[in-house]
Amino acid sequence: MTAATAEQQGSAGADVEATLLERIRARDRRAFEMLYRAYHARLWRFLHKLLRRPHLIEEVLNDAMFVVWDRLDTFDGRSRFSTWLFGIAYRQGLAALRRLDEPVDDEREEAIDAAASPGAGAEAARVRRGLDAALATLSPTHRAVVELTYFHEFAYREIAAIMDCPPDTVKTRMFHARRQLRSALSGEPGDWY
Amino acid sequence: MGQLTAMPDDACDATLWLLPWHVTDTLDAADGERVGRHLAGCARCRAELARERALATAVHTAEPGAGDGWVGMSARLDRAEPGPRHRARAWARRSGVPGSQHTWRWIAGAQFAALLVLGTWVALPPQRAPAYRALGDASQVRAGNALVMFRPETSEAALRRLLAGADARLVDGPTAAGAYVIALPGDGTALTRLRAQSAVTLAEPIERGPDQ
Repeated sequence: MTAATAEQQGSAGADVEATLLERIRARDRRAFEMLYRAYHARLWRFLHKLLRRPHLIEEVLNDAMFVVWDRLDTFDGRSRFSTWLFGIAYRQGLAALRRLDEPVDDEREEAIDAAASPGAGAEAARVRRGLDAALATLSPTHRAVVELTYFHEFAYREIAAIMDCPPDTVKTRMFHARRQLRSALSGEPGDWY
Repeated sequence: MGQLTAMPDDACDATLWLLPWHVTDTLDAADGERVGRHLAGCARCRAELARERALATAVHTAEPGAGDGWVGMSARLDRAEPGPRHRARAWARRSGVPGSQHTWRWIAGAQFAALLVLGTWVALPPQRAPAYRALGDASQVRAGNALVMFRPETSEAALRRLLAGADARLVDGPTAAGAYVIALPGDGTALTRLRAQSAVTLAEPIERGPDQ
């Protein structure tokens, strides 16, 4: 695909989304349903990684989407809509964890000894299980950075906007998360997936 | 296993810190140029890049699919939208000026403004045509009549099979949300067929205004 084609398609895709948002501002519920369905799978996965509490995912997801329905006027268009929406979902997710007295800060992860992670100790386990285990040992903020980077493919400055932190903090969190994940993955890189 | 050092104190480390976003091609031009230039001349960092791609792919693997949350969301909207009169009273209660003349004047004014904006939006021709649109076939973009999304783990080959099975033509996408604009035959059966596929999470017609 050429750069011009990609740019054209990206623009047309943004047009579709902008049309939906305009209709939602006019309280068009059908448009809201389309937007909801368009983002549901991505938000669900993001919140699944962030929360790791299945019973909370749908509740937090709907809390975030309700903000879209009820407070779309607070989206000022300075960022991509997806950046704004993921920022809401991230904050709602952290709030839900705080209600459960879950630690969400970075210091927790810094104290983890990578060599003692469940993935490193289970030599016979599949690599995938090791990765899942390593992800589980990360703090929610570190998991969020990994997920937003690798799966949702946000730029680090967009992630900084989502998490309301400086860009260098995003890089630092990603650095520690990568180091921990790598330590949990045995074998050659080709065996990791 | 690559050694990630604690602080980016040289060109290698500065590159290593940015590798995740190099892999996903989301660095801005300046960062991308700097990382690309360094990688071209550094075998060690190229080896790290291979490990980084492997890690990204491992993280990217499929998760259990999300269900359909719309039923719950729809019920929530029903609870939150009990009707315009009730809404207005609820707003007035929150604002601390229940039923005052000022309140109702404000609401009437806001409604008028909203209607004015909506009317203007409907009446005016859409803002179109950045110059680069002329490079492609704009009519193809407009020819899309449905929006479709696939489960994140759907392979490109499976996606092509699904589209071919529905006699669909890909017009645009993916959007930022991962949706595709497609053109379907007009009798509605193709849309039904797509919705029946487990890999399809969304298949909705695009309702366009009369000017489009």
